[in-house]
Amino acid sequence: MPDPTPPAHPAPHTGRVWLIGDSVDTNQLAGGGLAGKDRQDTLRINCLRGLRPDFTDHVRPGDILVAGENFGCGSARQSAVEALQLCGISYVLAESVARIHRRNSIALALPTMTVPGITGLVTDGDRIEIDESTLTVRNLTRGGHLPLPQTPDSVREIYRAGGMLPVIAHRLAAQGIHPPTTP
Amino acid sequence: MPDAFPQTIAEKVLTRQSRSGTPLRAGDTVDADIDGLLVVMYQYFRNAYKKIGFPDGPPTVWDPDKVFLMSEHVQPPPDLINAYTNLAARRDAERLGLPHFIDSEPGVCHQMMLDHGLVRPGELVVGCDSHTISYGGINAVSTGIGTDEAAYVWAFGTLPFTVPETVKVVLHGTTAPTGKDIILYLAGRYGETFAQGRALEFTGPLVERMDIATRLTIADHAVEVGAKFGVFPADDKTLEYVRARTDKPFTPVGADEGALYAQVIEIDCDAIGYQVAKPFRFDNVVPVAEVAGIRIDQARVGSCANGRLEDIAAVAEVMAGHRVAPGVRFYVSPASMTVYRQSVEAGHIAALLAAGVQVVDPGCSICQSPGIVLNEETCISSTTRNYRGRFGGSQTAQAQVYLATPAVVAASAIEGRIADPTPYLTRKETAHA
Repeated sequence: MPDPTPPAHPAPHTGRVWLIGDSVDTNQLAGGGLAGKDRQDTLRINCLRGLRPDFTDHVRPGDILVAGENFGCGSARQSAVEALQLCGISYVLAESVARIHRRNSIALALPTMTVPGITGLVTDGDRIEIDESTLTVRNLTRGGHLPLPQTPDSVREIYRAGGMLPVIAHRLAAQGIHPPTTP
Repeated sequence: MPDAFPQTIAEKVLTRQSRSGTPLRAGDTVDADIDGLLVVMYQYFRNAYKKIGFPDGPPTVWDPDKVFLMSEHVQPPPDLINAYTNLAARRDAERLGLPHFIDSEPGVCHQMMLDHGLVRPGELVVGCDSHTISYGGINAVSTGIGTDEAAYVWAFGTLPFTVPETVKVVLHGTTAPTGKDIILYLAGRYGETFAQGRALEFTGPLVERMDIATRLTIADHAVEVGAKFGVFPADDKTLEYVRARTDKPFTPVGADEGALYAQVIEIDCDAIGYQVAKPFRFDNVVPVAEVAGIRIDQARVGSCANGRLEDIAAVAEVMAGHRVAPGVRFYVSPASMTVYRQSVEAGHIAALLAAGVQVVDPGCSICQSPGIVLNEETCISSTTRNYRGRFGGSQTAQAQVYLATPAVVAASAIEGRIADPTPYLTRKETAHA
């Protein structure tokens, strides 16, 4: 039976737009290159560097990535989502999202939405507001808005849990399997 | 079954694997039982369990016989982290009693799944690599997933699926070029997202003339046009191929007459010549004549797409009596140790070495780095992808990578420029013999 009380919507989020093109694959999000201090640092400093060398130096927590068609195509790299999170990206809005990357974004709880027309609504550096309760994205810099897609309750449950791993932990616990240590 | 209606392969398999008992249509969402799970890159997989409090690896596995754990992406291990990961994999496999742990065997995981008979027609298989979809070449319904989803399947044996719409691709013709040319042509004509989130069913009179290697190449690249599944029918060639590798029972799956398709594409493959994908997209495709003459620095043959015995043989045939051009690095990597051994026995490896080819160990590295292509350089490759920085990461985003079938790659290596292999072939290429 579905949960009779659907999960609450997050508060509206306002952030600055980074606009990138079509067919940005997971290799460009998490394909290595420069050597960082550790794995996470390496992921962060190489994210989108081939396309936007200024990205990792200037991206700030809460920024929003807006992409064209087929965002996240290519290898089944969950680290592609992790790299965006390490850069502080809060939302990804794209004309379309490749299948595996979309599922990985759910698994890591990075809101990633297909919004047809989004690359025509914004230009690089605009401020936009994402309101999941009214299902609207609004351009605060130059006006205009678009509808956001409805997120199925089953997917919102995973977002609310914080991703796939907490769901696994919860289900293991229900089977009587508990961690030997505190995570 | 109530309300029976003609179903596509995807509808049929997900209906069978779901526990609802009612027939499913495209668009339905279901929890499906998984027949097989491939796990590679164990470092990340194990880390998923560490994050939820299990530092000593996954505490349980839903069915040890259905989990296929391979060290292959990091075999031999290039650094301490991966050497320790392989040690942990050995210990976890023993603790959990995994009968299908493939450790000290380099190769491409997907080729090893086939070589060892671990995947069979009609099965629903997932793996944490996007080219898991390639098993559609032998009528399996398979797809790539992420690490944390794999961790979920490992423990519980199910995964939520939306039943995809299906595009039927009808292949006509008698003497078409290779599988690579067919899928590149499809991508070029219909775009790299024409199958986004959908299933592909490959059918038509040409299919029965195709060898299994050709089908596997096409199914492998179904993900490059966005597909969730890319499935060929099972015929006598399929059954012979699979039965030579496993004695486990299986039930092939076929679409029902009258099944509903989102789109039907008819292709005359006789009209397709050699195709090349230009940088930096799989669908940026032109006939080889349009790019012939472009200088190259590197050539590569291998991968789950084109590293099989038939591909190595195609290279050997073109190279016979010729040498790699001065200044060109030509890497050839058989997709598995089985393919490597067969290639040695057939005399292909000796021929490649005599021609100045660098034969490198089987493995997924042929599709990434080492073998970096610099921003100043151009490469032609039979591997899976030509996205920016594919062979070197973020600092090689301007490196030019073209994709083509192994014969085109070999001819280009001989001339030092992208070239049509026709003059080097002693007879009409027989990809479908």
